[in-house]
Amino acid sequence: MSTTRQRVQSFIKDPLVVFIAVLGLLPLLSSHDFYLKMLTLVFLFAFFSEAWNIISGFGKQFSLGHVAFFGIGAYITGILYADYGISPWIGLALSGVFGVLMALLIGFATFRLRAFFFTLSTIACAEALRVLVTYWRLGSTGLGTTIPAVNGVGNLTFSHEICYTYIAYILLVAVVFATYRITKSRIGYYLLATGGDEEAAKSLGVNTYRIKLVIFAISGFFTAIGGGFYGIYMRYIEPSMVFAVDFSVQFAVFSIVGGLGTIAGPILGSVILVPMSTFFRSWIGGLFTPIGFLIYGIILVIIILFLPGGLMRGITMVKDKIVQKINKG
Amino acid sequence: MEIFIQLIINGCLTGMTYALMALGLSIIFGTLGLINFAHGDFIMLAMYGGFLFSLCSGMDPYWGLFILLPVAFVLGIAFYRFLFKKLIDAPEESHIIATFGLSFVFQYGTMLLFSAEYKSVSTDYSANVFHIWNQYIDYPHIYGALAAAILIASLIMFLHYTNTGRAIRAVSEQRRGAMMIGINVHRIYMIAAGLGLCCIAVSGVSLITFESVHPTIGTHLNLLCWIIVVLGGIGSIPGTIVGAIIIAIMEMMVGYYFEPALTTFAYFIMFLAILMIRPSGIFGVKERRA
Repeated sequence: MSTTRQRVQSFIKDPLVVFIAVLGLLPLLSSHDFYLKMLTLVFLFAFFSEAWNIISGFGKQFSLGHVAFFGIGAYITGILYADYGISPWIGLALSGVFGVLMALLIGFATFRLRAFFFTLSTIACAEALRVLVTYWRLGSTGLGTTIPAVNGVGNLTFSHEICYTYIAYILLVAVVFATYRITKSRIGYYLLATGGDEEAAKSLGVNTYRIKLVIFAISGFFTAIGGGFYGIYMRYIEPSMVFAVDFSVQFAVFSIVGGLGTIAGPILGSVILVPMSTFFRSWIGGLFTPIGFLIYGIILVIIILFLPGGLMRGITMVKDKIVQKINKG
Repeated sequence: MEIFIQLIINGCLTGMTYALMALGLSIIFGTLGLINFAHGDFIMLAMYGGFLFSLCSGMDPYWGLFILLPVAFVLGIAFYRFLFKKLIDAPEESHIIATFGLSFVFQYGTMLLFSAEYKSVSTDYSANVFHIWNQYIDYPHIYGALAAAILIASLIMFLHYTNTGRAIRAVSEQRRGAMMIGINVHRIYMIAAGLGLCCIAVSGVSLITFESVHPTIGTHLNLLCWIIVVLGGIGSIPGTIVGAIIIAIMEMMVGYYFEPALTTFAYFIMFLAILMIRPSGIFGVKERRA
């Protein structure tokens, strides 16, 4: 048994903890609005990608419709606040509940079948929700919902950008902590076994169906809450925006580039790629906006073909080589 | 009642075009075992092909098939050589991610080239209708169904009465067994990929005569094809045709009696229902439980 002191020491030395702590200091470097906005997006996308990674990276159940959770969270929180004046905090809690319910519905129908049925129904679900919400909200006016800005903690509205940045950071830390606890728990080992070889896991007595359901529900829970926050943060929601396929792809791209099934991977991916896509949108912009997503598509194909482990795998390979050299020399 | 019959007739005609689309997916999935989530975007490209042809030449898009069919076949072979071949032996997750990435490349590539506007083709017979027993049926749908019927019939003949066709069926049934009796599996894969894209080319050209095209239509078409294939039963040609007609009729009914905007929602409910009630599809025999 290790003492508390030893545990604290090993915790501080963990590169992941150092990495996240450094990220937490970044917002203090500059109070420039553009810089802070970009950091907020980096943290938020790292958060979404991490949530996606729990089910799709560790569990190998690829969801390409995660935007369904995102959108449902954004809409529940946004509509409750904009139309009924209910505090976003309650909205966020409700979003989480609905995220879990939706995950259970999809999982219930598809987790007993081959893996691609799951992928397919997540895409179908996202598309279905997009048309449903478009029909429901845009039928008469054709406009999205604007969320009123009244400053106050109860309204989740602040005048300083840095507050949003730190909320996004707290969300990220929460999901990282949850992922960490999952990977170190019994259910996490079951999950890894399920992702590795489902038949083998089953034959060893793992209830793979239940594991996948639980993990998918956790992933949906986080994504829905994040979606709610995103809506409030952006102050405007529209079905074609919060249910866009682009988001699902981004969650996947960041994780895959960083390293599927690793905790640091999705964070690494978003730290590199979010500023890049901001660059494409704001500096090149205009007619060439599609280029950013075109590049995402190409990255996906190339990484899957040539570096399936992503950047984390690359880092480990380099590290191993250095260690080998040191040992030889 | 007359409207009801009209909807069923239109559903059957559109269903034939859908069947052809889904058949392309079914051939590639059945033979290569490739889970292709870029299928809808291939159809979108074929629609743009038909559109470009009639724009440049001023002729009916169907004439464009003389160019598009060989191009599609060669493209199929090229995609097999450079992408699918590497994916086939990789785990299923890689198929999903890589083809999804491909679909993104197609979508945003066409958006860059053609902008996100809706494009459509008008032919001399676009506005004409065929009048029979109080029913009005428009010609583009009739021609589309005819083209699909011809291609499906010749495909069935090819698969059953030629040696290459029999080899394709053998490989799709059992890859190892086919290898053992001396079938060149890679050649068969190439031909199957080419044939799949040919089905796509014809269905894309038929679609462009009665529907407009835009870069993101592929997501919808992809979903449609997969639902048809799952509903009919993977690997069954009659199943695919029946599934396509059921889906097309359902689309017409939902569009007429409820709300045209909600057809995608109806697909999703339908898809979940199939998965819960009969995951192997109407004509499916294979056990597909994980």
